[in-house]
Amino acid sequence: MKPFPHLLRRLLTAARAAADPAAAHPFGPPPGFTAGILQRRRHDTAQAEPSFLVLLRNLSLGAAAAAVCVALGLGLLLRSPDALVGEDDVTLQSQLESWVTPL
Amino acid sequence: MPQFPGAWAEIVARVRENDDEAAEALIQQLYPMVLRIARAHRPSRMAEEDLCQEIFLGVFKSLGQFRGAVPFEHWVSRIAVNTCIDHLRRQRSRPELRWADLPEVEAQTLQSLAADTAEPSAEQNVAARDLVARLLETLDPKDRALIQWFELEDRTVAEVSALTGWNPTLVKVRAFRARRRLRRALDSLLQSPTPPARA
Repeated sequence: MKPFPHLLRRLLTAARAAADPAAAHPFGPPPGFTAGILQRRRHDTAQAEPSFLVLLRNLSLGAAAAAVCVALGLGLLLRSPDALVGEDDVTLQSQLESWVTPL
Repeated sequence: MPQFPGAWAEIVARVRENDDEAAEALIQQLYPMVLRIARAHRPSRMAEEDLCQEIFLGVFKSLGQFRGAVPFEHWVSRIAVNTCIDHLRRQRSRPELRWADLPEVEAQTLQSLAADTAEPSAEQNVAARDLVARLLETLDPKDRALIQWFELEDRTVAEVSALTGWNPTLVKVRAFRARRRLRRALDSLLQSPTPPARA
């Protein structure tokens, strides 16, 4: 057999000679091709819109839920500020009182 | 929307506003170029019309990102090339080629090309084209595309650079490696253990 690079060169030259001349200069799109793309494009756009709306709705729902939680928390706080005083604070307070009383 | 100079500015602006007539004009004008790319880099199991459709849908989807930094045709060709490469990646590449995998006409053509210097016949040219296609299927999609451009379409480095967006040095380095891998693929075919029983 001939040296390898020469064989590869011959193979590629032969392959190039077999290229279909019509393939190099194709005509316009086949019938229905453009209509098919435009239809799929419209379909994709229509599909994209609801998902955006869904995202928007989910965001709104999330924001509304967060607002309700904050409002509830604030309401509880305003109604019973003592709830903020923890167990440690109570212990500390009674200890202070026990020290102050003998004085 | 960003504006850019050139003949495509108006048509692109109209397509962005969902003008079907403009979209149709865009397809009509770019179809030959897109088809050429799709034919040259199509995975064997995918119809070229389907691939062209995928490419145009990709163009329409990304049209909002076109800033006019490169000519519009180059931008479209890059989408076309990348779409083809993506589809080629999804198709599992063929393991190395062996004599036993070749149809008789291709095996005979390869032996004939190796044995004599006579001009191959038209039938042998077609067999050589099919054999090269088989060899290319064993390569990485980018290597395959580079061999197609440089060895089968006689493209220049500048043309491939414009087609792909890769800088010229990268194109040269990748082409060098792609040629080396193609040589190895043919070498491995010639040295494959299964002898050409039909010879």
